[in-house]
Amino acid sequence: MKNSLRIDWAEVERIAKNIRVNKELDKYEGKVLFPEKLAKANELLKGVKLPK
Amino acid sequence: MKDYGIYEFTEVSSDVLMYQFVSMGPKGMIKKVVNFERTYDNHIFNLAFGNVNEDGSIDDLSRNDNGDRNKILATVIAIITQFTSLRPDSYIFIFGSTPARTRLYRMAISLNYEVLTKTFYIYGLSKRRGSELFDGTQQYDGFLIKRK
Repeated sequence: MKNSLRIDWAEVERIAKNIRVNKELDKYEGKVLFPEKLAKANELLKGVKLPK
Repeated sequence: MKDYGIYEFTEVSSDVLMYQFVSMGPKGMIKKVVNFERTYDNHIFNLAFGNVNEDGSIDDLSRNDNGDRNKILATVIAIITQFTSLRPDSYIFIFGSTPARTRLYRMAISLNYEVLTKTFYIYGLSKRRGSELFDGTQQYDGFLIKRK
């Protein structure tokens, strides 16, 4: 089970190059969809010294 | 031989912040979204991930139990790869909605550390240790990823 988390990097790169724009997703533009998660992220990030 | 699959058809919004793909499994087709939301620091985007509910709302706590966890993780890595290729100076912040999910991400990074670090810098963040280059033996609250 543990080994099944291994990625096939060639496949990852192939898919990354083939991601296509779908203008239907533009309806989300400018919206914060996960406000609670973003607030938690900001809290975590502000609480530590970040890498340069 | 492939270790495991990846979703073929991933789409993105025109501003290249919102990605979508469809999980397919025993529970049917479930729309998944990955959204990069800018944090207080303009160079850091929080990666938020969730399901699109039938009413169009988005939920980052639901479990679809569609038997494709590893396929989803591979697809999210492909999304991160594309996103960071377009914004190489940005950091991606990732943490789980639950401690168990954060542990899962740590395990996935650990198992793929060698291949991932050919392309990315990966940092672990915790209140106790601050930020440091990822160490698979440590517990973290979240992870920062940046293109090399």
